[in-house]
Amino acid sequence: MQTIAGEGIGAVPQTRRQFTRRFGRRRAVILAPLVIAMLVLPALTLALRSRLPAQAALSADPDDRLSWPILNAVTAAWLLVGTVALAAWLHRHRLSPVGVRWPAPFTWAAGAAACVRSLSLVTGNLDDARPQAFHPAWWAHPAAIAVIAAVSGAVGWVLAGGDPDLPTATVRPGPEAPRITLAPHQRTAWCRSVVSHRTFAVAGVLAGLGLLGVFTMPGIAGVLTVILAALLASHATVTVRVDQRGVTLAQSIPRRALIMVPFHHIEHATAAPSPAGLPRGAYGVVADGTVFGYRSRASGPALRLTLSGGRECVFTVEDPETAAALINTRLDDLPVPGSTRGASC
Amino acid sequence: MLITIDETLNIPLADQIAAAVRGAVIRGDFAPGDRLPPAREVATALGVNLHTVLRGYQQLREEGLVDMRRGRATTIAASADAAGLAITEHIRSLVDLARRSGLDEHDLHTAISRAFGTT
Repeated sequence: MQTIAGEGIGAVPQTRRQFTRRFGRRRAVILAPLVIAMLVLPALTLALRSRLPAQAALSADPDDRLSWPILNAVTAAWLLVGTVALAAWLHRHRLSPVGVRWPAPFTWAAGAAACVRSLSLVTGNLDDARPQAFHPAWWAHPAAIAVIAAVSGAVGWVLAGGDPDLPTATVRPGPEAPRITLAPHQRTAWCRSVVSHRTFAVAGVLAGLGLLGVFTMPGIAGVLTVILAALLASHATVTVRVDQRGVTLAQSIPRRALIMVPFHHIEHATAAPSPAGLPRGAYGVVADGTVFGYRSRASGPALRLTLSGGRECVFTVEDPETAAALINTRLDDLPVPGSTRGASC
Repeated sequence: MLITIDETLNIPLADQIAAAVRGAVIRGDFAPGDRLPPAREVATALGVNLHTVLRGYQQLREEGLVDMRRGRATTIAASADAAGLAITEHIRSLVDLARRSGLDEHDLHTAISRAFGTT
């Protein structure tokens, strides 16, 4: 999960348009490799149909063969399902500040791997009327494909681009918002550890399945599952911190910020009786539309930050009243663009 | 847990951090078994040295208020007694006030006995 530092949409129309443009470009960057991969095999078979055998040999096994139309249909169907599902997911998260960039490296890696595989199949079967078996070229061996996919993924990450700047919040907490009294010379911070037992449980189940896969199945699926479990487990114990820089959700191992909301993007903070707005049934770092945050439990008190651009950041955490009061007090010290202090809350 | 430190006070920062945790336990913000925020996070948040926070936590361990084990989170000890801790904190303040007012230990004992109605 990437660090969220001032991502999202703008409150003013121009910023929203800018964001929509940026997101449109990003959506194209994410989906393009899958669409290209879908077209490569049909295009190659169509262009070289006079030099291809009736059936394509797919592996070193001589019996492992399919007719080109079926091979094209199966490949295109899988890629189409993936592309449509991803497009729907991107549309659902079009306003989310979380998770709109990270699919890019994966689609670019998958697209590159699919293109290399298609190219290898066509070139391997070329000018061979009765191929006994298919032996991929050196550049189509798994290790070479992995390298190509990694490079392609990196290119996709770069092409997806950074996140647009957010406008500074122009609304400040109203007089009714909770505050605390801070004396001069004092340094004040608020910290709280949060543990998501459900995330731990899911990580444990995944780790178990992964280890089972490592010992019983060929391939790297088991190893990848164990890695996924470790990543999930690292999100299960986090700290919410309010300090001079803003509000930070940090994981302990490895130590890094998962969410960072600077004060100048916060309009006001409140303590809510429940984490309403966060997607139900999802735990850890979550996002749904304009609401994002961290859910460690199904219900209970939550710290709710109202941000510029109509977004909200919600953390399930104990003692949110004190955190909200400290945040509102800090916001009072910030300069107010447009001077609309106390206009709404 | 709200932690406030003041470098202009003549009180070590580690003591101030320990006092903040005691205050949180007295207020009921923490219950036995609850995790304290990692010392590194507290140090980052306050802009102080990690060892300063660890010294504060170490004090609390010596008082029996927290459990610290290598490789595990620092938690509020099962034996932590919020009421007893509150009384201890009040006695500390009372002793400070008595000293500033020129009263010695005997005077304070007498005042407490009077308050209990035993003299």
